[in-house]
Amino acid sequence: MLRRLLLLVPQLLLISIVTFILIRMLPGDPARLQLGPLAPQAGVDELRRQLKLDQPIPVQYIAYLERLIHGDFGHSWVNQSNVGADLALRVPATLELIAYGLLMMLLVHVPLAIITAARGGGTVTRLLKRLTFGYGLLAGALPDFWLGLLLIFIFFVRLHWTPGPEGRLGVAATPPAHVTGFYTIDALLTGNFNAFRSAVAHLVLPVVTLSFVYGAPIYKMARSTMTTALRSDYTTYAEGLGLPRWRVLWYAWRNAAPPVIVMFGVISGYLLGGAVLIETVFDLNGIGQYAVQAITTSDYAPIQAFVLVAAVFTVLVYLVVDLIHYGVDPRVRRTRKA
Amino acid sequence: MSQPILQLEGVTVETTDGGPAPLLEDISLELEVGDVIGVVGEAGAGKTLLVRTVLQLLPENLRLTRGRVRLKGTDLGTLSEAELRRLRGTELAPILPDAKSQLNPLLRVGDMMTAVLRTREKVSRKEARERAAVLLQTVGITDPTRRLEAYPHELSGGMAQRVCIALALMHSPSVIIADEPTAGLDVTVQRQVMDLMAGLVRARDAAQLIVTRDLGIVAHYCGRVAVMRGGRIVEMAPTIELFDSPRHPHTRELLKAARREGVVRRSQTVAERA
Amino acid sequence: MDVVEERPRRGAAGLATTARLVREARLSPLEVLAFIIFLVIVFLALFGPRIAPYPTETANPLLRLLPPSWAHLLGTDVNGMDIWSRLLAAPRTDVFIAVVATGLSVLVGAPLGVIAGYFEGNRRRLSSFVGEGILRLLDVVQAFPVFIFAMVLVAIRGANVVNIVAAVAFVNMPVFLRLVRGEVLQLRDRPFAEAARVVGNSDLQIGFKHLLPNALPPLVVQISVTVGFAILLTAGLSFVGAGIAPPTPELGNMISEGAKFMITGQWWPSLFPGIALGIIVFTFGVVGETVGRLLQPGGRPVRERGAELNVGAQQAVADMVQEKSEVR
Repeated sequence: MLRRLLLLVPQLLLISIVTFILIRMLPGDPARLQLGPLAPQAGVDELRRQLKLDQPIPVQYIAYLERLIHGDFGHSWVNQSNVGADLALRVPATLELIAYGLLMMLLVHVPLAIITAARGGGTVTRLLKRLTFGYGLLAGALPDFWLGLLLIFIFFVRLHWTPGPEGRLGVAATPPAHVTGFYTIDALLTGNFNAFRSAVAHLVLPVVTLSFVYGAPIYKMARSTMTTALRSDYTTYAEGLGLPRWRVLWYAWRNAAPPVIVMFGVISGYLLGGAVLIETVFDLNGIGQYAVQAITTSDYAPIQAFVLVAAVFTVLVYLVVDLIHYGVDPRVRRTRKA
Repeated sequence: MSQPILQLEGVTVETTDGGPAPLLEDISLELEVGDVIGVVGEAGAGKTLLVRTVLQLLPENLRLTRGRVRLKGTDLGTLSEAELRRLRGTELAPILPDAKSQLNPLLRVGDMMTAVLRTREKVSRKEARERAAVLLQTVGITDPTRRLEAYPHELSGGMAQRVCIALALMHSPSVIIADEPTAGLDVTVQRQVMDLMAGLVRARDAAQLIVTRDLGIVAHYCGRVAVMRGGRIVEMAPTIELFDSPRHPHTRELLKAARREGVVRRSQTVAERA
Repeated sequence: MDVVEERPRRGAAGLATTARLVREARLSPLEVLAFIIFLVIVFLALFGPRIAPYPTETANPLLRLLPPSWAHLLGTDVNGMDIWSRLLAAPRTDVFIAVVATGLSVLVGAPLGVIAGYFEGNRRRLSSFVGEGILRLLDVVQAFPVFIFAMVLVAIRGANVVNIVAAVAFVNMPVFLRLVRGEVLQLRDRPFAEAARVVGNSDLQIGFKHLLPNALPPLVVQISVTVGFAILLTAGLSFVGAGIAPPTPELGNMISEGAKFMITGQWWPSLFPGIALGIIVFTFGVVGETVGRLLQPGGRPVRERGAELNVGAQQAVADMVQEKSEVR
């Protein structure tokens, strides 16, 4: 396990190098872009010196790394803002979306998978099996951005049940004071119930869209591993010993869970950037949307910051997944020690 | 004592999707208190299926189409899933082949044992653990408190089988169904495990159904033997009678093969010693 | 639905093929349907623009946003172009990009996978180092969010077909590398590989001639899944304006163009391209799964992995799970 943690350092360094190189390959001169086309050449040259852009690439990289370590993510020339501050505002928006999406998968998809994997069951279960079979086939093939639009059309345009794609809050609600950055939690903490209601209402459709599309692989993985676990010897044996049904299911689930946990990790890693389409459709002002704007306007610093943050996040998620796996399965523990 | 504990009357099992022949056909058996009956046959004769039928744990695509399994007079087929669950472990306990794969790999021995104990008896966690430790001692495990913390993969095959025996005996069931109880064990360990099981079962007045390929086990431990082939019982007789004067040709084949194997085994040990 | 209506045109050849396939392979009705739609998609990718009843790239302001009617089966879009015609033409763009990109991913990823798998843990330092190195580099590449990574790649070179193909190919390459590496790792110590070694085949010969063919069934499944994912990726890129721009008929930009009208109640410009996209991706998934099953000796399904459609990193799961079981 120690080896796993040690590996993290070179991994992160490599990620920063790749990010750096990628961004350097984007067309245009960062200093010129930052100051605008009308700035005098002398000023541009001055900034180039400041950012060490006149130095050889390795020196530039070291300078970049130094700025990073001091928490300086650079300056967005399009928004004329500090990228670090922008991220602080937008990362929570994305994380909130992902967190509730994953929560919904955990509360809906996983139990559904367990129920439909179990043998027998009444008419309800059999109906569920039919429905989820179709779901498993379809959900993975639907584009998330399209599904979001469809839901907006049905539930906002036609039924008026939910607010439209106007961001994280309605116009009437004031944003809650910043505590965690999650509007729902901050609103509750500060007693701003108006904002809480609005935040929840604005999250419903994006979260449903997200978990419908990206819950499909989770559902399939959970059902397939659970089916295997339920067919295994130890399940028959546990049944034979007369253990209660919930306990038999729980014991089987403990064996079925690790690949599902991995799947959760992969999906949350993917979603940090991959949720961008849903963010765009619902105008949630998340980090993905921020990156897309930056890319379409060749705004260097935000892209660089985003790619780095996302990559680091992914690496950390995988680390957490490994740690969980390590905690769940005694066999991994033993062999890794050896 | 006139009523048998476990009674199979013309049990027939077929596939639900209309497979050609029944997998079990017209099986009848009776076990009384203290009876030890062996069921022998080649692989594919339907022995394991018989075990699962008695336990009412048939795979989803198989059905008991004719006949009855009675436990103390009650037809198990008429019971609900919940009632069956209550019988399993208390009246009817399984010992299944290859104990290491029967134990959930992610559960400590102690957790499994306390779970089974606490399913039927309202005892504290602590007390359940103590009882489990005592039980492990009964099945000949020397440092029970340490073994309670062990995961199945840390046990040897024989040790795992002892744990399974302890699990089966936990609620003093009246019938023990043992399917290949010695599969995957070393020859020396096989004897120990069988002696242990036979002794404990006798002490608890339970009846036993031992399903095995090993005629040696049958000869040693069973009072009566049923020979299965192709899902039917082709011959059933008291052990001595069956070994002395087998009537069905298949029984004779099995006996002949077993004797030959016995010869092989003896020469093997000689070779090992050399 | 919109695509299925094309069936009669393909009738003769399609029916003959499927009838034979059904007999020999015991296909389920769903699989048969998928194969038929697959043929339709292939046909559209080749001839779609030609059979479109209206021009597919010429705006007509007079016909703006007309609802579905007999003249315009699926209505018209914001530029007054016939949606049905554009739908017939769009698979050429999307499917072409996805298929070529996936092909590139396989061509690069599979050989690297053979090398990584064959030499991993090899006794010779250098070979082992190459194997390990490929994998660790891959870890880094895969840490980047697929979608944004593709966007940045496109941004670096500019949004045109070639660059989009390159970007989509690049982000999908690790999937194949890992898949092949995993299969090779499992196969390399089998007796048949040992036998090939004994009779004097070189390492590379064994890897490519003996091991790679055995990895084919899961590879085929993965290819079809990746084509589906690549189509979604292409459409997604176009949706945010970093892919194929209008007026070129492409499903993502069609949905994007209709998006704002969804809110004002004109649902048809976005709805139909989305359905078409879903059908195409779904079809590729089922067809790949089926072909993979047929390729597998004994006709058993190729594990569960092919079932995961949407997330490009699905292979990472299979891989991580596999690595874990290797540890056991």
